[in-house]
Amino acid sequence: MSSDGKYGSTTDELRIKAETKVAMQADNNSASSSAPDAKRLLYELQVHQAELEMQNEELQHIKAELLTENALSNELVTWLAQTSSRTTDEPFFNQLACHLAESLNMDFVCIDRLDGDGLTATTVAVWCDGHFEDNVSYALKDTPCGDVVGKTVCCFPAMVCRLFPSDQVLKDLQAESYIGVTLWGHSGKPIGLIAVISRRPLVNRSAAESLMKLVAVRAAGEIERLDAEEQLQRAHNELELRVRERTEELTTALRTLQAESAIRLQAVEALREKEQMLIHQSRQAAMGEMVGNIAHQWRQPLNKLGLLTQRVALFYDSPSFTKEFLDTSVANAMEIIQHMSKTIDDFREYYRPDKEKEPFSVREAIMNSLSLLEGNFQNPTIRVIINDTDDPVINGYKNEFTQVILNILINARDAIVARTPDDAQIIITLCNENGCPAVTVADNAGGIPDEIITKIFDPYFTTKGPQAGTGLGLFMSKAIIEKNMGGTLSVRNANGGAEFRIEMLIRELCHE
Amino acid sequence: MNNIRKQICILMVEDDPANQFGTTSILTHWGYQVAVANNGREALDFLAGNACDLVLMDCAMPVMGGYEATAIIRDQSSKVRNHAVPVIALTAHASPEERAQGHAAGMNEYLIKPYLLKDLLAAIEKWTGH
Repeated sequence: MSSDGKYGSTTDELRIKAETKVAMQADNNSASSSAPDAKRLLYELQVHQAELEMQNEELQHIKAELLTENALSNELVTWLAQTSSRTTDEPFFNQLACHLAESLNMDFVCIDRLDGDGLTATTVAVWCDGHFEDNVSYALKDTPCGDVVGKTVCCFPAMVCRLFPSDQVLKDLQAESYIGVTLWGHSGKPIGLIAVISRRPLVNRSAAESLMKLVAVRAAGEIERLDAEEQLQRAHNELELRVRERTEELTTALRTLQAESAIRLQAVEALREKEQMLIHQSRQAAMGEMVGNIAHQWRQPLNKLGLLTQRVALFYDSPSFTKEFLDTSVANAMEIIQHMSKTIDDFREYYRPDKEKEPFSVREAIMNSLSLLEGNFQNPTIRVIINDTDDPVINGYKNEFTQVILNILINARDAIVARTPDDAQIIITLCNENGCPAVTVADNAGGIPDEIITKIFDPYFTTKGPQAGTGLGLFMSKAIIEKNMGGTLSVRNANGGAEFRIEMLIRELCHE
Repeated sequence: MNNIRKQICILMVEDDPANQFGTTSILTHWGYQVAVANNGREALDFLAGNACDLVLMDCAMPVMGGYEATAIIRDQSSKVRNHAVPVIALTAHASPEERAQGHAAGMNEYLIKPYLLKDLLAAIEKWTGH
């Protein structure tokens, strides 16, 4: 047993106490009759035994105290280990302050965050005499906490009030002892501190200091985690705000666009109507040109009908007037009537404005054009040759397409009338090129002079004079093919004549 | 009368077979002799080699039309035997300009299709006398 008095009594005191105890026991027992030496030895042994018993008692007491202290520390450490950052019941720092006060048996605990300038601190938890107090900011100057910052741990085991006479808080608390630790950030800068204060002198300084150091690491981590979380939340909020703003902007833009596109649609609609009108006008112009032909065309079949009917009356009395004669005459007459009826249908169909795009056969549209022009290719005689390797289908405006072919054919006819080539002919070719319909109409009337070939699609450009041409036919044809049906209409000189070429460029329109 | 008409030769210039047949049958029924040419060129060939009392001339025909053929008939330097043969135009072209063109070419009479048979007969009788 050491004799420096670290625990309890000094050796001398212990000896006196033990002798007193032995004397009391001796009074009770009858004196021994042993020899004085033996007596002396026995006495010494008895005294020593008493000493040992008392020391043992004292050690038991110290052991109990230590165990309690240790249990409290253990409890704190366990709590630290188990408390996840996500504990929601009470803020982490409040719990920590409470546990610290209990474990170290202190009256006051505050956990602070250092403010930007390092001269002030703001509490994140204040525990004082069994309750939490509101958080405050305070200047570090002339406080023990000011001394703490930058040191790992700082301890004033007693009379702290006298050391910091201007610290009103210490005075109010009647503080006696103080321990503080710095909370270090991961980058090595101090970010906060923990201070514990007691009204009694500090008993077990080293244990308290090591516990504080342990807590500091965890608390610093928690502060940084909270900072990071807050930053994350701020970033998240900012992002959400920006998303909201952007969404609003986009919604506004969308509305504006919708309004604009509605207006544009209306404009397109109006334009389409105007164009329809123009197309119709030019169609009528083309028809006007043909009306003379229609008159001529109809006089031929009408004349045949006239002859057939008058013949019946004329031959009635003759021997050749038989049932067969009559039947043949009627059959011939009906054939002519049917043909004329079909011509009417063709014209009426051609006059009908196209309301909607619909799939139609290119060959059929070309045949319609030729049917409408029947008779126009007789004087002078023009051979029309059709090379159809394919029968492409276009999704578009059939009558407008017929009108285009008609315009091109009338142009070819007029060129042939003007130039009178030998063996006048028009070759119409229709095919699918890469899945897209293409139609060429070629004549052999010598071609279009270079100086006007670039102008022939211009509006009001005509070489035919005011009576014959409006100058709108080819202009409208180009508009129909290119604007309304998404194709191209072009012209070139080839094989001794002009060759007009229609290409439907939009693949999806080509095949239904 | 029929006997006299048998001596009268009418040349019909017409490219449409149905018209050829119809008109021929009617003219024959009336008792005339009928020759057919498909166009102006053939008509000139016929008139160069044959006597003819009257020509019924269509105007719009391939190879050579009626106006051109009539002008050549009237042309004294052409090979046609009788430059003064009466020419009756049968045409669908009804405008005054075309009528004037017909007269300029030397056509004697102008019948617009569709025509009445009695008008045709009257014209033939007027220009042949029978």
